[in-house]
Amino acid sequence: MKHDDNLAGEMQRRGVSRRAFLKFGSYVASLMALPPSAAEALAEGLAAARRQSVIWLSFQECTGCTESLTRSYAPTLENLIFDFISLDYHETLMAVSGEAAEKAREAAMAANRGKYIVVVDGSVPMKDGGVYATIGGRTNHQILEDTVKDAFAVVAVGTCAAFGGLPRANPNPTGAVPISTLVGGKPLINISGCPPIPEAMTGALAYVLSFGKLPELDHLGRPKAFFGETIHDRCYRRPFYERGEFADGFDDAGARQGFCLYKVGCKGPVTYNSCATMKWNGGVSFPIQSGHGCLGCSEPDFWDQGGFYRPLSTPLGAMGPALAGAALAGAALGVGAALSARSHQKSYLASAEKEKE
Amino acid sequence: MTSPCAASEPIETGAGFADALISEAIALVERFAKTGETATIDLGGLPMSNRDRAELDDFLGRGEVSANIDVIGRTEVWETRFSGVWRVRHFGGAEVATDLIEIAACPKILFADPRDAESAARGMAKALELKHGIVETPHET
Repeated sequence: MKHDDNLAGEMQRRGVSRRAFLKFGSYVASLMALPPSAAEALAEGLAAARRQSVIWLSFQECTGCTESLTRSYAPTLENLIFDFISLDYHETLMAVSGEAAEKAREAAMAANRGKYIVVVDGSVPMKDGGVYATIGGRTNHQILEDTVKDAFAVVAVGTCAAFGGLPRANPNPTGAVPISTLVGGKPLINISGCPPIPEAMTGALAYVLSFGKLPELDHLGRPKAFFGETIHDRCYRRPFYERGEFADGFDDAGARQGFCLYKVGCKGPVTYNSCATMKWNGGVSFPIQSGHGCLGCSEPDFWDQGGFYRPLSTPLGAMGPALAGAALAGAALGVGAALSARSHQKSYLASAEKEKE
Repeated sequence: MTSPCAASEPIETGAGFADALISEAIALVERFAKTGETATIDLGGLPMSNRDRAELDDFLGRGEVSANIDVIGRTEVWETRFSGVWRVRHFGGAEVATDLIEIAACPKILFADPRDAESAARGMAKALELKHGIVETPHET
């Protein structure tokens, strides 16, 4: 398409009416818990927008974030975002490679100076001059600095980009850092998760396209629409927590009855994300509904929180104020459960040690 | 494959959402009747159980008008048995992506946008020219 066309003109030429924008606007407004009346504003904003140039950089990552975005369950709607953006550079998805690919990135930057969005997945290694991840002989850090300098905004998708993720986990051998530490004052949206929920990526991009500004963000730079509540807040197993009904193991009677997974390490009370409401695979399920506790993958340092099966209860101080709030909310039940969980965990570890011997 | 310890389904008891939503819809319909002000209720973000949804669907029912729209996937629109109360259900693939109750004379998505109509007028004129052009072009042998 011609870059000077607005999106409505482009869609019209393809025989698609403005109803498409209204439908997409309704979808995004619903995703982001905006008032339904915002659907029309979103639709008008998108229709009037030019196709947004997006440069997608992949650093220390596993490509799960791209997989998440491209394997959406509502393809006709979610994939519409790919009609609204011009994905000018994406190593995994683009047909060209090598110098031609780098030229495409440079051309997109030159043609859209100050207007393009840089999406980054993966953290950046800084140790030893950043030699642990290079592309075309340049370090991730050099590529990021060069690409971001004329960008309108940066979107860090996935926990690796947002908070360092797995590469930054102890002992962090490559000196990995999150994108936020390297982009100076550029407007930044963090969409954490391992991988992030595709609707969160689609919604945030659509919001920026429609309104020309970032959505409301939390203290970690994440869109509040998707990260405003904890998994625990919206978990359908929460009534069990309130009643003090917990699974003590993954194969006991409590687990079979769907009791709360707090004692087997669920990090739902301190994890801000939308999994409990949006779910995965077309709303089929999410980890807790499948019988496993939340790993807390959308939070900073989730890999180093003492083990996925270690109950949250202790140490309260180390886990920050969010847990303190959650623990206070269910204090009587939670503390009792915590103590019991600790002893359960100790006995589990003891038996594991015995088995080793 | 489902884990043997998976809880198969969230709690299925009704939470009274249907009645609360119906009360809200009544107030909005009264306002629409008096002032013409339209409104939309988005059912997407509400923690409704399947039972709540079934209760709401049963209560509202289906009225005189229904329409299917084919734009970036399917959209179903129907007036409920209560005049001015519409259901608009957008699908993304096979899944419901947005589920709305609209209080209006007609849901906005059914209207043709004048800007689309402007383009349609040009398109029709061109199509007519083409039609005549094709008809009038003598066969080359």
